[in-house]
Amino acid sequence: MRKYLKKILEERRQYFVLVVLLFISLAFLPLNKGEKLRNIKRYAFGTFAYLTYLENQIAEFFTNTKEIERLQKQNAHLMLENNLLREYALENRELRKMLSFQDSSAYPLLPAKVISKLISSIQGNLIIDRGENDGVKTGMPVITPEGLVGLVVETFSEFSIVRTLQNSNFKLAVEIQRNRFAGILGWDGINLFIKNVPTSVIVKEGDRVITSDIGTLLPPQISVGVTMKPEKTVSGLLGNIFVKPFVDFSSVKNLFVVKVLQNPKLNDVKLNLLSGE
Amino acid sequence: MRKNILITTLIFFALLSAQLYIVPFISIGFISPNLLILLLVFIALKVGQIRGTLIGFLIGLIFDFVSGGVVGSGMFAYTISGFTAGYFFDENNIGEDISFTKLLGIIFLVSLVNNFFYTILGASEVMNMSIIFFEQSLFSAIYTALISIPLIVLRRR
Repeated sequence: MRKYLKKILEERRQYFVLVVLLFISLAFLPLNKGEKLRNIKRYAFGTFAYLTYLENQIAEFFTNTKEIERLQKQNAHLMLENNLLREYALENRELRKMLSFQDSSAYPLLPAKVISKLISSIQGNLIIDRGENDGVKTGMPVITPEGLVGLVVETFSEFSIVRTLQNSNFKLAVEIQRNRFAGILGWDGINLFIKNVPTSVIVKEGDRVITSDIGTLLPPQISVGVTMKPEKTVSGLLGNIFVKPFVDFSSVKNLFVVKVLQNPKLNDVKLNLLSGE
Repeated sequence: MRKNILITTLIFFALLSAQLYIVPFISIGFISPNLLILLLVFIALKVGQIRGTLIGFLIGLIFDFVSGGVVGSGMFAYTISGFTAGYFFDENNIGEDISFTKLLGIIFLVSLVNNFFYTILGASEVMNMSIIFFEQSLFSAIYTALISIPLIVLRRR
């Protein structure tokens, strides 16, 4: 029996190696949230990010990015301010006074550059050249002058990982600005969509979608995108609303970390999307 | 031997860097070439199936740690890719005289396998299989095969 097994093992060594390695790979999947793996990742990522950062610096050596950065920062501020003004137009003046909304344009913005990207239809991630040394913390939103890009999910001393909206692990509380319908925005590998929206909710093509007040991780009223044609399910009671993001994720290069945490206490509680790997 | 390992390691890091920094500029939406697959195929055709599988595992391990993706998904995908590429290893013809179309076909197949498993394991929820296969895997595999043409031609010369 032993001889027979040995013979099989020798003849089919390649399959044995394959199965063992695949098991090891699968064993890593649930460890993604663990601190040990995070430490290894921190070391490996930190070392490699310097390489890509250097490449980035060489590529930008001849371009004057200061002025572009300043204008983009101004644009980002205007985008936030513009959203707030839209809100004001939609809300009644008295209610606005009572609620005394925070002036979101006053959010401190930290300019950052994308140093590398993971081109994947389901794992949309960006690596930016700002980290803990710049005051970046896990949970901070990342925007461009056009709108929301994503959320900082990992920070290292000099770099951070941003999970973009185009990541199937990213779920975001949003609302349709015109009718205040709130839902959860997700990514299915091709489209951004708000799932299970009752067909009684009237959604027009082109309605603006913004981050919601009920969200726990992002400040409200950050532009996300516009609605596309609603899709009805077979039952006809619920449907999906597809959303076209304002940000072109394929070309995003310069962005801003909004140095604000929606609720610092919640940061420790590890809510929904941050633990969604 | 050591010199070969050193050169291969350097090429690997250069390609890894290019995959994360240059490839985003030449990608069409989510359709992007996989440069690491090219290296893996060339290595596996030279060293065989077992070593190809092991090298695939190592490539996936490093890729997962430096890319910010889900650790384990790349390892799984590259391990299977190394195994698949190594299947075409021929002891009597260690990759030198392999025909152009066969090599192109191997690169396409290995890339397809890699994209498919990487997408499946990285997704947090069940996705449409036709989307995963056609939109995420097939087109990127075609792109990878196309990108490999100049390299194959250069290698043959």
